[in-house]
Amino acid sequence: MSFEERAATGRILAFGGFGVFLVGLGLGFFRVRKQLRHDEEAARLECHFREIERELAQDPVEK
Amino acid sequence: MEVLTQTVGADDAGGAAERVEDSRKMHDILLRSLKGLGYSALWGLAAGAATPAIAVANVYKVPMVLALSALASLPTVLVARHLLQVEVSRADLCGALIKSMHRAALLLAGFAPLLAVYAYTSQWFAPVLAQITAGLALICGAMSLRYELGRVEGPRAQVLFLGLITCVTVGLALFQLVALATPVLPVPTMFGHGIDGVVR
Repeated sequence: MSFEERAATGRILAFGGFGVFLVGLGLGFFRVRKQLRHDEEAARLECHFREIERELAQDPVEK
Repeated sequence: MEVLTQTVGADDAGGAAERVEDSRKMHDILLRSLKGLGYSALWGLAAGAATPAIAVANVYKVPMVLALSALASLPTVLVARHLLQVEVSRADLCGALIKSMHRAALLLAGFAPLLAVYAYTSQWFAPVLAQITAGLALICGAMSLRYELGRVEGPRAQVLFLGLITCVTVGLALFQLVALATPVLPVPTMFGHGIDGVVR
């Protein structure tokens, strides 16, 4: 295989590899963003339930 | 109510907040990567503006060079981290590398409009300006990496050595990937043939 042929192969691999990387990066980003929203919602709910728990502890008759 | 308090009860104290922190960190790293690629694409578009075909191809090629140089150097950097026994997690090291590349790409994007103006109005200075801005971006990236690694706890000499190894490997990868992506500029440059064209 000549140098030019190797360079051409390298070019194809680089272009293809970057395409795959870009798709993976995009998919990974959207997945992480979805996970972040989910975690934020869970943290918000946790905070809310703790508040309810505290209120109930202060007023045991209602509990 | 009891069921609810058990579900998100004391056992999970702070767990959700920690998960949010981790997810946000990962989200920021990925967002920075995507933004960095976008910024470098802008520079590519401006650098090849004199020839529409090159400009359009640069939107893919310049981010490719940036991303693949980081990917190609990453194993060397991780091995160096292991051998130097620097107390920094893989995620933090990748984060530092991505942050520095993001800043370098931001600098490229900052020069893109000026470069586009020169690409349309000057034949000889536009490629020179493109190479100067690329060099500045490299310096900015290296300085940013040094700053990011400076925040890592551990022996200073080893951390600095790790930074140096990272810069050298990224630089070497960039050299050859630029050669693969050539033509990026409308005129041939000394970087078009990679290391062979510079050393010989």
